[in-house]
Amino acid sequence: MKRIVTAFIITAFLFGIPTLSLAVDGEGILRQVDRNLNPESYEMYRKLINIEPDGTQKEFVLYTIKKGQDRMVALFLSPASEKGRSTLRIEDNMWLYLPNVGKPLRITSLQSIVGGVFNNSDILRLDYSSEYTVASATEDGGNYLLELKAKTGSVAYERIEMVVDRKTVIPTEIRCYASSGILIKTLHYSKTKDFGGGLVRPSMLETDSPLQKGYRSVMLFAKIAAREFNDEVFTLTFLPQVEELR
Amino acid sequence: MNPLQRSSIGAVAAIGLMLLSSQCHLAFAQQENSSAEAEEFSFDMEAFEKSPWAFDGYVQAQMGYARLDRDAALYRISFLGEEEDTYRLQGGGEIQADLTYQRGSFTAYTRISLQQEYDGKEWYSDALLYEGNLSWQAGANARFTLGKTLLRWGKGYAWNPTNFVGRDKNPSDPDLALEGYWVGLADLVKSFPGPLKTIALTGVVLPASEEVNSEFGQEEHVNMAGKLYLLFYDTDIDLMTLSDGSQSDRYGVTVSRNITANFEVHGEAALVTDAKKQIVESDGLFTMDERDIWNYLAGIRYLSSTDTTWILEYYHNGNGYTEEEAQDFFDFVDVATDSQLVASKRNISAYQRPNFMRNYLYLRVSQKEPFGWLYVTPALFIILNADDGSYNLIPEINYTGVENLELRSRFSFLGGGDDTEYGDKVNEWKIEFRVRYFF
Repeated sequence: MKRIVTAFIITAFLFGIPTLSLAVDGEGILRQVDRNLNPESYEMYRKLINIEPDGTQKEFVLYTIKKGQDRMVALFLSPASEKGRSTLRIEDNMWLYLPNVGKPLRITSLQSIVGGVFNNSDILRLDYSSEYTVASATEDGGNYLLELKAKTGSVAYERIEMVVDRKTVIPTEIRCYASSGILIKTLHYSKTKDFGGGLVRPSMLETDSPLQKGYRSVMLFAKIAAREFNDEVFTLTFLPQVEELR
Repeated sequence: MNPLQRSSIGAVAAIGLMLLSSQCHLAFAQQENSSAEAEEFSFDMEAFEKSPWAFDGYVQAQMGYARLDRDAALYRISFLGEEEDTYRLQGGGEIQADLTYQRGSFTAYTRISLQQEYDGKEWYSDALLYEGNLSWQAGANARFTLGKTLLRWGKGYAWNPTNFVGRDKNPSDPDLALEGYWVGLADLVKSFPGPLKTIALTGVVLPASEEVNSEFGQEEHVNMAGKLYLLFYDTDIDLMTLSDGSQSDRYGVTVSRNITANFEVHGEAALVTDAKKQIVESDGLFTMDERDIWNYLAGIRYLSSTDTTWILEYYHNGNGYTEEEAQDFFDFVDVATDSQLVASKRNISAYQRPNFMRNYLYLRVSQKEPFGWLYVTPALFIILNADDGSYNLIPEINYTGVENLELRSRFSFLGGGDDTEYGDKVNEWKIEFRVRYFF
């Protein structure tokens, strides 16, 4: 009997430990994904390209800053027709400042200030872990599969499926769903690049949507660097002056 | 037109055409290029290196064709003793340019507008300094500005009853740039964790004299205004005041909040003390009414799942004229002689302002790229006088398919019959085209 118990313990030890180690810490992976995509507080330059069904393209260049979990600003540098426009996000609150109008207006996460497939929540994206909880996490070959659920009803996508490369802990594909279960869009990360400061991440994000057949949008990242900002930079008072931070 | 005006018009036109042609050429070249390199995306960061200087703006040309309402009260007042055609062709151009220079924590900014307009009979030119100021960012929490500055207070889209230190916008074109006032301005701001995320205080000193800010109100006053902004429980809240001076004391409050991800509500209310109103009786007698009044606005903005944006606002103009008072004005204009109208020009000026009556509704519906029409945004909006039922109905279409080029066409139909606000405007209808090129 003693031998049977010993054999059972040894078997459990031999097979049980690896089984436990395979239990995936979804929340931990999601936090790691966030940090691998960008520092918690940073400045960034990126180009957005909208590609229409007939092949014509529209480009926008944005200077973006983020602080902590919930504050972000994006300033349009190009084209001339959009130059000086800036958007502020504090948690789920979003505003748009138009230089000609001279005052900020509240906007919504579902709108798109640039048209195309990217909406405002894609352009002013906070950390995934600040907006979503991990409903399930599994391993699939060389990837983790994370299923994320929105923490509040004001988040643009009710549910997200994220494919994360196990080796780099960087997402390769993100599928975004509405509360009705409809697939809104798919995001594809590619072209991993060393941005310096220990940040190695994709430099290109492409998206397409079954709701906008034939349309594609691309985001190119040129510079991402950790930088600290005062909280007051992320206020309506400072919004018209964001250019001064560059 | 004197030779100086003529030469300035010529210079404006020449600069405008040069900028337009060179920029158009560049835009088309860039588009061809990008199409050719369909899948070769690149991002040249060097082109976006920060420079202490920034120069941008737009060149614009516009044309309008209107049918005049020769029986309208405002037609008679506007063209006293003049013979007008039934139709009127108008046009013009504008160059609006912003120049910014930043060094350290100091920023110098100026916005100028060079305009030339044809009113159907004559050409006019104007050069306006919209803004020109120097700012000092004194740390993270404070900013001080001195000079001509545009301040726009309020949350409403078409009207802002709490815009105490700015100029009134045109509700049929509320996004147009406006001229600022000469002010001294201090902005103090502080952020917090928790439900109160931001608190910001704005102090304004606005002198009014014959030389500066004479349009603001009574001259020889130094006006003081202040605004307290709070972002509290995800709601924008403003409390503002303007002290007695060129204008009477006034107090205001605004709120704005997103109820859901696609639904926003906003409101404004202003108490104006000792508001004066010149009233004309039908027999031409004038009286001055003075009392405390409330102006307020409530509105929503809604984005549907099909990318339709709805903006609906109700505006109460507490100092506006009642239907009876407006009727007295129309009766007076009907029977007054030309010399009586000339003599009363100043006393009846308030009746000629946009939205001179009490209650208004504004509804704007715009649809982004309907039927797959790329870069096309049609919109329909109406400004309805809820007192007399007259209205200004404006269908509009915008096209932005060429980089930095914006085309806009709109038709404005003013209806309501005799002795109503919009029924008695100068125009019966008007069609407008506008081309704007950004540089």
